[in-house]
Amino acid sequence: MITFTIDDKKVSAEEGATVFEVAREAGIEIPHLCYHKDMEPYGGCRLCMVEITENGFTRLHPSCAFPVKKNIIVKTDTERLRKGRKIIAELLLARCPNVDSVINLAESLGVKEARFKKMDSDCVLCGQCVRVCRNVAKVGAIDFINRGKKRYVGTPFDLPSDECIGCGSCHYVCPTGSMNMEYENVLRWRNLPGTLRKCRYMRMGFIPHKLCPNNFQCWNCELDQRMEDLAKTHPIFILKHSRSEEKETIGHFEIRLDRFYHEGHVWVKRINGLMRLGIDDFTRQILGTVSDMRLPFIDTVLEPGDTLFEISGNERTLLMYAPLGGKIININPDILDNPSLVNMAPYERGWILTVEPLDIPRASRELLSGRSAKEWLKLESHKFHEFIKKETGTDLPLDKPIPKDFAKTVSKDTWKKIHKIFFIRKKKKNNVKLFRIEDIH
Amino acid sequence: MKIKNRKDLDKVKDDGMKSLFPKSPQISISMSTCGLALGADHLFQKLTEEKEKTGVKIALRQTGCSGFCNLEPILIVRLPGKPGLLYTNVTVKKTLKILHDIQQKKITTEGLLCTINSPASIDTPDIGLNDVPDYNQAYPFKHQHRILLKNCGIIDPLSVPEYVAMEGYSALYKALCQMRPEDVIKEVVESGLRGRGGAWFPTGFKWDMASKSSGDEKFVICNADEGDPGAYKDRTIMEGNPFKLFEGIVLAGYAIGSHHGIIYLREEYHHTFEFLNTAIEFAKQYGLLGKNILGSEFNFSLNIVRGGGSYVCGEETALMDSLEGEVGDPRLRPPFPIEKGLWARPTIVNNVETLSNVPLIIQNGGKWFANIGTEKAKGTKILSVVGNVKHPGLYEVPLGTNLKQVIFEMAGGPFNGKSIKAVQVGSPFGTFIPADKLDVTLDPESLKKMGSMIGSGVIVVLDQDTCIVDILHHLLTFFVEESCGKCVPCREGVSRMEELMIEIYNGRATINDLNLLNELGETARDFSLCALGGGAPAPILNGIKDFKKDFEAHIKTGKCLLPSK
Repeated sequence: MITFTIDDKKVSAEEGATVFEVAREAGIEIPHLCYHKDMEPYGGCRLCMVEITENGFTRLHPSCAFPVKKNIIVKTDTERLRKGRKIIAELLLARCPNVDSVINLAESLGVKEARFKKMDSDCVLCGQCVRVCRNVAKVGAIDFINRGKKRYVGTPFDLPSDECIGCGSCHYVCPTGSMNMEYENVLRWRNLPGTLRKCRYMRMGFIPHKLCPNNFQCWNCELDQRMEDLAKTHPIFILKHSRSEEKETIGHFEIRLDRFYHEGHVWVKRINGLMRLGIDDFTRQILGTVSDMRLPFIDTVLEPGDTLFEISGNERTLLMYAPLGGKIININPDILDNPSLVNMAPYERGWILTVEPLDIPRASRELLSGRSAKEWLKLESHKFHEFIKKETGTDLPLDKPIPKDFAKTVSKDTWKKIHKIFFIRKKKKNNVKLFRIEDIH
Repeated sequence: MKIKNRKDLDKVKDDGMKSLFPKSPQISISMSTCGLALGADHLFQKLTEEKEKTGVKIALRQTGCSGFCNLEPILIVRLPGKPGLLYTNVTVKKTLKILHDIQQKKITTEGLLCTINSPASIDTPDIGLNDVPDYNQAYPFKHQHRILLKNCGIIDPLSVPEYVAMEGYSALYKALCQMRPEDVIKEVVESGLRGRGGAWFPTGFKWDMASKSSGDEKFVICNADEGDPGAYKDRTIMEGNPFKLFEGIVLAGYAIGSHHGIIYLREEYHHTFEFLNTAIEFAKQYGLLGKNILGSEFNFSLNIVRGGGSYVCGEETALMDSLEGEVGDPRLRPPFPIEKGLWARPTIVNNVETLSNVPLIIQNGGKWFANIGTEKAKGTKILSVVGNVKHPGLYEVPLGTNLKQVIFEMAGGPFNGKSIKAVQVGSPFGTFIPADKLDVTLDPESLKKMGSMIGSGVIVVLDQDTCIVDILHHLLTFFVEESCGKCVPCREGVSRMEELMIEIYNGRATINDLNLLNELGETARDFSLCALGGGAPAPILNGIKDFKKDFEAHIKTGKCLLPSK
């Protein structure tokens, strides 16, 4: 936790938080225009500037982008800041004298009338639409055109966009209501033949296939209503969270925090009451490549600690053990065709099998997750490096992945030791019958 | 041939000495952008034709820019056993006369400015040469402290041997063979070198931090987006002595652990682009770029990327956006480029002049460099003196030189006997210094005290016939045109300042508008995102203070305050 001062108040915050967020939590609302809580800071409106004193030097910084630091002194409402914000509000009011949100913003800062020649724009160039389209929806149909005074938001060559997916997120985030990309595109799409009328949730990537039965009248659509209710914001922002999977690295091993881990280096993920299993990054890096596997038969009933499957690559094999008891429901058909998938995407398409668990409470007691999983992997990583140094004398770098041909370079004897120390956790119980992938082809 | 060891380097050096002091007559024409604009290529063609016609045995070569475009086309004649002869403002007619005189073993004295690099083994000079000054004593090179520009305009810029003959690549050889990267950084820190692009950030400090930040790849970017109005020092270095710049870039790469360098070149420098690409090819042929440089383990590749013609892309974060193919908008800091720069990798961005200083520092030691200049600003600075002076051009002087001395002694003061009204140091962000305050030393600290800056070293001299309101309005149109438009204070604020300035100029404003102009300027200065919006108001704010009479005259009468003729 980092402690510092905002407006004479002592506050503390997690590392990586911004001054703006911390101030908001502490009940201090800093004026802002281009900030959006679900997007990266942009720092364009300059309204959220605060005075920050650091090491004896006081400077102005945009609070939306300034990460909290220890012992800084933040002032959010000084004479200098009020004066500057007033001028900025006045400039915006002169640009957009007929936009309600700008008029309200200016009024809240004590500006009623602008002293400059009035323009008639409805866009403040806060860039929220551009950012949501490019960074959240990952579409990039619109961007800034020209520079300086002539800058505006639009599509390439101002032509109707074929890239636009009509998600309406630009319209949703726009503080002044000047964006109407969605509407323009919907008008075009209504003229399409019925078989080409793709639902906007299909275009956004929520569902694989759905044609619009409503002639793009989303206000009549049940799916649209449900999605809006669920998201409580524009649905595109949920998509952002599902896209950026939570992953972290411990040393040079990747760990996914939405999974459970067994100390024998098998991960487990709950899917519809069943458990999906695969190998973790530790196993993947040590083995280097996966060229062949031996797998159990479907309907085999397992006890925790039974032999589960065997993977081989780089002329070495690893026998893995069952992290929990249950019945094997299915085996990933993709890896039967292509075992190297296990190596390429161990957490995703390279999962191995699905188990119907027998004793969920026991499994959740024994498996590691969250912080305990991180601690465990950290220890394992440390132990592994120490072991290799002692055994072979090579000093593997702590920040780089293990070389791909590592398994080949260690002797068979060392390999056996690695298997014993890092993969066998309990006394072996039963040897489940396994089949070779080659045998079924 | 690839240079792999000391022996190879010495051999190349001998080749260079041979071509600098040839056994047969040789004529070199300055063929930089400025020379070409004044017909150097036409001259070259005529000489070739004449040579073939008369069968005279003479070698035709080229040199680069020396920093004095008004002396172009420049010709250097090298005769066996005699010092080089530098002719200025030559024409086809004059050149042909020189050629015929060489044929008759005579020396033309018309248009002869100075002699170059007299070697000790020279015969007694011919009659008439005694009056001709040496290069260092001749105007306008006199009074200068030319260490960076020493070779510019003298050697063939595309000849590696000639650069090596002038002690080139000895610094890189020394660094790669005898020094660790830490030692290189230590030497640069000791020298006190600071960024010459305008911000004057300590270079050694930047390199030190970049060398410590971790990343799978690091980049060295040479900022050659020389956009300041009136500046052309980077072009002169690049076209006059490109290998010195390459040497500096490779040294920077070695110091921070980078293997890839990029020169971000101003779009308008068409000739420089072609020229540098050729130079890179030559450097690769000699093993000075690419794999195993000078026979060491160190690899370094260098690319040139052309900008898109935007002034703000000279700002380092906007420059990196531009390199990544995005619109060149400045980024928020932190994160700083030394942590997350180009493609989110640690990156250092240094100016052409800064990087060109590095070989000198490594070769002669940081202490030698630290002896030049003032207490806080070390080394020399290339000033480009432009405007109403007799001899506009590039003057390399130690930091801390007096501004008056530069304008009057070196550049010759204003022409036509006019008096100076104001001088802008550090154009376009520097303030206009009124004529009575010119007694100031040129270094960042003392100029900052006056509210001005040295910037990239452009000095614009304005005489009595200039209206300050007019010139400030002109500056503002430049800023409005070049603002990227990302942040409100710069986009809206500075364009409103320009609007007000037009009103003031035409006499439609009141004294209250001056206050509004002040308020706008202060907001833009304090609240802008990058140095463009933050720097733009400085000349205006100080201009209102120092030249209040000009403003008042415009507000009252709508006319400029100029001396009556």
